[in-house]
Order: sequence, then structure tokens, then C-alpha cells
Amino acid sequence: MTNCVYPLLQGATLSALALALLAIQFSIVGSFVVLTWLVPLVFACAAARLPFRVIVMVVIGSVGGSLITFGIVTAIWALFYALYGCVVGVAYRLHVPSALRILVGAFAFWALFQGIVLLLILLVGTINIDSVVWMIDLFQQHYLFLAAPLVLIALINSLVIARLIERVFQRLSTAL
Amino acid sequence: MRTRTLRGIYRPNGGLLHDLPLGWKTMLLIAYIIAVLNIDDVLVLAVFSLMIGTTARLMGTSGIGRAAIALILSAALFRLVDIPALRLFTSFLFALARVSFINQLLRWYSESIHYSQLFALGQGSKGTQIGGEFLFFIASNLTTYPLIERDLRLALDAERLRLGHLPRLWMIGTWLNVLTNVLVRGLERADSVSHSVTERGFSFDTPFTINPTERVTGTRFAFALLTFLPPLIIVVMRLL
Repeated sequence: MTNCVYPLLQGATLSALALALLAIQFSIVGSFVVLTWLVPLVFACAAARLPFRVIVMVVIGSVGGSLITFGIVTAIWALFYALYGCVVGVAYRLHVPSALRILVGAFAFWALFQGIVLLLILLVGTINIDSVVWMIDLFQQHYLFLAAPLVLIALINSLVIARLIERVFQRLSTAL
Repeated sequence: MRTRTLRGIYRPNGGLLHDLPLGWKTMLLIAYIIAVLNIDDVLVLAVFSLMIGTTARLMGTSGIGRAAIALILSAALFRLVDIPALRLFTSFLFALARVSFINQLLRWYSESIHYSQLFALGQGSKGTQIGGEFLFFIASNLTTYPLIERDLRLALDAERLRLGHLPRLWMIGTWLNVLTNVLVRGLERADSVSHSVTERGFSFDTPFTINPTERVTGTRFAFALLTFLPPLIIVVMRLL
């Protein structure tokens, strides 16, 4: 268990950073526009470097922490970021070719975003999620109109994350 | 350098909070965070945050008093100003004040914890190995949180030096550079701490002598019970 100290401390640092970024989302509702790039990057770093059980701890720590502190809506967003980041990180870890990695990332973003909206629609009426009702209404009324931009956003997002994760690991390989 | 890293933001203090076992402190912190996020009533919030602020002040911790006043004022603004146009602004202020107050609570918690306590927690757990690891992970996560703020300030300073002028905070590029810096700093610190403890012969498998000052006594138990009651009452009242 001696060697566990390093991944556990790394995991704790990444989880704390994810929680710090989620605190911004809790304070500023519209900040998810920028955070859809930044928070998954943190989870991707965890998924690309750490052992499986520490990745699970990072996800549970961040999602559970945001559920306790910031409430259900931020926790659902945290789950979305965590799953998306893990897909990107695992693809990087498995040395998937760059183009395929971007496509996998884009598909994961698209599918998970549909999932999160569906989950929020299911939760309307059972819990207090007034802050995102406008988003749900927008999706229910203009789904076909928004479907094409969503695919485009997923592709751009995946491209940006793929570029960022390479940049972070390049910096880390020279720093550590 | 490594010795300084191991200290974290720990501040030696002979107070009762410092001497409480880490598991209790973590439970207290979580209870207080839940309570702060569940109070909407301005009067209850005022009494509660002033109580925490006064206790912190008596224990020589600064900053939490200002955060408590900001929390009370923003809560009052949120509850009393009922103009739809200002609703978004007041709710933003209230959320920001809550996060700031929780940040101060976390700082208070981190200042009372030495890394040796964290390692003893991971090792002294009576549960399974995974349970001990998870406890260690959660406690080090909470301890690391305030260090992120310091890393962020350092990264912003570095960005300012790199650019030669104040960083433009509305630009995404600035935040990407800053976040990369914060990530690298955090991971470097984790690397440094784990190397330090491993070099000093630390192992989770070998027995670890718990500091005698951390043992449970009647006074400490009474203090923990007294500090645990207010958030517990608030959470129970909220649930009822």
C-alpha cells in the first residue's frame, strides 16, 4: 500500500480542483459554457494517469461532494463532466489514434448531453430545479433546431479537450 | 523545500479544535457545510454564522468573520429585495457568499490539520483497506481545497509576469493557461509530499504512533458535542 500515497494524493488534488471549478458553476449559472472544457479536462487527467480505484474515488468524491455542497443540479453536471472526462482520458490512456479519439469524445459529449437533459426532464416536479427549467423548455420545444448545433458543439469541444490534454501532459512531463 | 511542502497550511495552535481527532473534525465540517447550504432564514443564518465567526475569532483565525457578515448581508438582500430584474444578481451574490463562507470553513479546517494526521487516518482505520484509503482520500481532498486558491493566485501572478500586463480575465485563453499552471502545481505538490513521506520511511502497512494530544478526553468530547449540535438541529429542522 506504500505506493498508494502518490496516486491517492494526486487524485485528491484533482478532485479538489474539480470541486473548486464546480463552485464557480454553482455561483454563476451560465458558466457551464466555459466549464464544459475545463472540468472534463481535470477528470481526463485523472483517468489518463491514475489506477482504476483512484479514478472511482475521484468521481465519487467530486460528484458526492458537489451533491452535498451544491445540490442536485450541480451534481448532475458534475456526473456529466466526470463521465465525459473519463471517456476522453481512457481514450488517451489506450493510445487511441488522435482522429478516432476526437470522434469518440464528440460522440460521448453528444450522448451524455442528451442523457443529462433527459435526466433533468425526468426530475422536473420531483425536486427543485428551477434554475435549469429554461434549458429544459428550450430543448423540448426546439429539439430538431438544436440537434445540429449540438453535434457541432460536441465536435469543437472534443477537439479543444484533445488539444488541451496533450498540452497539460507535455507540461507535466517537463515539470515532474 | 520538502519540509515546507509537508506543512501545507497548518498553523500550530493549542486550541480544542486542533486537538480533536481528524475523523470528528471531518464530520463536523461536513455537518456545518450542509447546515450553511440549508439555511434560508436570515435570522437563523445570522445567529449561526456569527456563532461560527466568534468561535473562529476566539481561536485566532481571521477571515471567517468578514465572510460571515457578507453571508448575512447577501442573505438579507436575497430575501428582502423582491424585484424580478434584480433576482439573478441577488441570487448570484447569495451563492457567492455561501461558497466564500464554505471556503473559509475549509481553510479553518486545513489550518488545524498536519499531514501526519492525514496519514494516521489512512492507516488507523479499523475498516477495510479500501475504507482507509477512501477516508484518507476525502480528508486530503478537503485539506487540498484551500491550497487550490493559493495556487490560483500564484498562477495568475505568473500569467501577469508572462504577459507583462494584467491578464484579461474574460478571455478563455487566460483561464486555460492558468488552469494548466494550477494543475501542474497541484500534481507537483502531490509528487513532492508522497516522495517526502516515502523517503522518511512511511508505510501504510507499519504501525503509526498517534500523537498523545489527539486522544479523546472528556473535554474534547464535550466540545465536539457542543459544536456538532447547532448544525444537527438545523438539518433535522429542515428535514422535518
